[in-house]
Amino acid sequence: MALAGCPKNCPKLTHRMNIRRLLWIFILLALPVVAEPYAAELSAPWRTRLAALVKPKTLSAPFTESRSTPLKKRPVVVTGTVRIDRARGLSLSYDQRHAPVVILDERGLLLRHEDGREQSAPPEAESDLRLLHALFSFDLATLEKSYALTATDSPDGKWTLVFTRRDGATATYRELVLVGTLDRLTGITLAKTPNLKTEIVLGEPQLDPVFTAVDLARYFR
Amino acid sequence: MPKSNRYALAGLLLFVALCGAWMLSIDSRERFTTDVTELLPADERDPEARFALSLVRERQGRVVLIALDAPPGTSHATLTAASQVYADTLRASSAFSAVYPLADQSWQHALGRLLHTRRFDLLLPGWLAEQRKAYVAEASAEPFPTWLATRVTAALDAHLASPASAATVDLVPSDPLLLLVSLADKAAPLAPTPAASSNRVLIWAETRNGPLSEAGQQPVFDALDAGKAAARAQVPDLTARFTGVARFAAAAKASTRAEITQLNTIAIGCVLLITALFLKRLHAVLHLLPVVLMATLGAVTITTLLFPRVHVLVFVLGALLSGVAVDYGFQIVLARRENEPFSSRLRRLAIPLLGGAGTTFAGFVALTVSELPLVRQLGVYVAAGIVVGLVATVLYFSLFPRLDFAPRRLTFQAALPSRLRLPLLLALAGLAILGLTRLHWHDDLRTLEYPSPVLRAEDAALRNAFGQSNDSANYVTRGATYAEARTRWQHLADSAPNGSPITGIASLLPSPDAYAAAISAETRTQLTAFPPAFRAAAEAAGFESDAFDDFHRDFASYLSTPPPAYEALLRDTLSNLPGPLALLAHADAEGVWFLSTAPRAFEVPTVAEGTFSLSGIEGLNHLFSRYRAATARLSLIGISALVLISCFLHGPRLGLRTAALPLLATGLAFGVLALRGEAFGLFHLLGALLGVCLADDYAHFAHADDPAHPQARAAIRLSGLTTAASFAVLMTSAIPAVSALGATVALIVTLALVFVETDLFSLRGHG
Repeated sequence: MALAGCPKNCPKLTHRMNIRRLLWIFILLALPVVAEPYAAELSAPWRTRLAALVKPKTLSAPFTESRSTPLKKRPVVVTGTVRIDRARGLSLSYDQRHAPVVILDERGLLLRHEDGREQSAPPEAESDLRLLHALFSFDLATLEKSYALTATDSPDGKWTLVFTRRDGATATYRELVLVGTLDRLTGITLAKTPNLKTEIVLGEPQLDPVFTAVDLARYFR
Repeated sequence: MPKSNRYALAGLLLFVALCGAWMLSIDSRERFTTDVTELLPADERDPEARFALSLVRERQGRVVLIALDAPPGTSHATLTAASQVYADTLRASSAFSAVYPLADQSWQHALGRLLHTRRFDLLLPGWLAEQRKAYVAEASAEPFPTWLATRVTAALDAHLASPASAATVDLVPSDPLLLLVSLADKAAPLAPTPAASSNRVLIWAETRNGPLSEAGQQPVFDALDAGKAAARAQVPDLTARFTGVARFAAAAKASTRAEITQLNTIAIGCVLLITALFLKRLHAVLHLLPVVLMATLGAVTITTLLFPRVHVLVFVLGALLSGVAVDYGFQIVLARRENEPFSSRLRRLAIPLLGGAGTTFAGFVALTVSELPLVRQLGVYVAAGIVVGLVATVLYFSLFPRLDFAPRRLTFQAALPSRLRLPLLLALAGLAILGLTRLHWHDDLRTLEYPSPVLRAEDAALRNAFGQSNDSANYVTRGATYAEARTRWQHLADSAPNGSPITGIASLLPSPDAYAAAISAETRTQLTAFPPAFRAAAEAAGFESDAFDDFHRDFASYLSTPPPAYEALLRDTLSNLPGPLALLAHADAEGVWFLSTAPRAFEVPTVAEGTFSLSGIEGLNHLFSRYRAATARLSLIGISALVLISCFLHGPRLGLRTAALPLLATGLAFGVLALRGEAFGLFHLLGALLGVCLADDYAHFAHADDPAHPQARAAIRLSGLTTAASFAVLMTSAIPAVSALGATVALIVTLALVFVETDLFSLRGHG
């Protein structure tokens, strides 16, 4: 109506309208490009929760790891401490004697033995390791290429993210599961088959601990 | 033309025709070589040297390491596709027999499959020996099979609790003894994994032909070029670098050939320039050309008749032949006197000519019994050339008795007063002795190589990229049989201190003792009792009852099959080693060897018989010292012959004075070089022998010096200056050995010339 009442301004407004229309077209076109990973699966509250999970720059937590294999009737259970440094990667140190420190970072997986020997994962494990690194660093864009996501919430504040291998994906892990309560990650499951899987239960984490130079040298690379 | 001249001409033409026909009949690529390893005897008695030489010729020398680098931003998939095209192009060429991109783990998987299939033959014996040792130490009352089953189950539990078990979950059902799992540490260093790089692909390739043959060089380079061109269709800015023995050999060949041409051209220019200063009729000097060519042709012909392969360095070092052959021409033509028949001139010059040629001939003939092919060939080449040169000079110039070089009249007189000669001689001798006390030897086989620092730098960079660390050294353990070689390797491995492990293919093989124990009837009986005991122990420890069915099936098959003989087992296993691993062991009629690596600081103890460090071509320097000592002995024999001939020709007093001139010139030259701090080697010694012979020529020619006929002096000056100039040109050679030889000869000849000019030894007028 304002346009009709102001003929002098009409050409200007029409021009503005055209610009607005163009902007909308651009936004619509750009949407798939800048869309968040798992845009349909993860609502805004989910993203807020995930953002809170990655907020601490460093983290340390005790863990209990249960390894199920077809060889044993019951899982093998080991304990240890997980350390995460967003810039350096993830490190698992086991309480078991002589067990090597496991370091997972952008360069892949490294086993560091007590005597200083270091073993790298074979090159064929590279794609799996990249996905595991993506899982621990919440790199959803990388995970989305190989895994479909199902996110579930329960009224008591518990949540579960189940990443299921897409058809045709080359990852050997069939299913990756993250379990949490509110804004805390409490469990991780890496499953190749139903009876070949590793379940990690995380204890109370220490957020933003300061890793000393000795810690950094020992647990990261 | 007089009848005698017709015979002379016919003789010369016949000689040239015969030599020419012989030279045209031989395949120069087959008969002449630039291979530095052929400078050493093929039947070298030092086993280490013989082995090092064979490595270059065997498969180990045929390895080519290639790095393909893509510009930043190239996707990994594109680079992988380009490298695949590159590798396929090499495979399709007849120049390569094997090509393995390192990212392609197929050969490592092949090794894994091989070891898995033969795990009970290869790995069980060593494992069993360790278990038996622990059983004895524990003094357990349990029967061995039961004790072993409990121990295996415990180790298995511990392994499954280790994070490393994630990688072995597929392997453990067929390998509960963890034979392959525990092998990973030993096997990993055998195939060093290069640092990952997103824009680089590394390719290991093996050529079909040896790197020192023609077929192992240009066709290989052509295939590499073709591979690069094909790969660039995928990645246009791709760079391809490679290294290998073939590249060094081809570069050395090209450089040496270029240097021979360049040095000879400059030397000829210098000779012409000096000649022009002394002679008015320069064009007459062209008459020397046929004589030099005939001497060279005769020398090459006789050398190739006697040796199936001749190193081109012989021709570089033998360049002095031109200088000597030219000398005879200068002496004969410049000694011309008006109205004197040619035959009279020859009679007048007979003793100086025969004395000079005879001593040089004797000096070089002594070298022909050297064990070093280069020295032997050089001895034959120069000795033959001396004889041919002298005969050809006499015959040729008999055809031109009136030939006159028209020497310029130089009134230069430098003869010292008699009273000064002895003090000066003593002073010079003192200086020579002082210098000789400072003389030190440094024998280095690399002085024979054309230096190629760029290639060496690229080679080091590529080897580094392939994970070949400079911190470790290679060792070879040899034996007459597989059993002996493996036993010796065990001695080596046992002698290594903690933290300095010896890694080698032998670690994957059982020792003869362990193998014999494993296949003994007693052990077999105990092993038959092991599966049920293990099944029970595993079930009790919570393992599924069918968890190890694969193992039980394979183990039953192993126990029911007669074990192979040790030698057959190792021969069969090593002949099936895939990819680069095949180069870590070798067997032929001469025996067996295993290659190992250890930290460079590790020193092989004396108990490790049959093992020696493989430190490359420089590791053969001790041989060079031996050759140098042998050559020194032969040179002394040659010099003794020179003194005897002098005494025979001129009587003891004058003969000794004549011989003293070249000896002082040589001693003084060595002394001066030693005082300058020069390190001496074999080629200084050879240069000294050449210098002695040339200086001795001038001493003999000095006898013919007659103040009334100054042409003889002109001939000595001309000979001396042209020879000194030629060898001074050799000093500029990039090959250190050639440069050393040039410096030595040039200095000796210059000093000898000064001694003749100053008549320091009072030799003039005795002709």
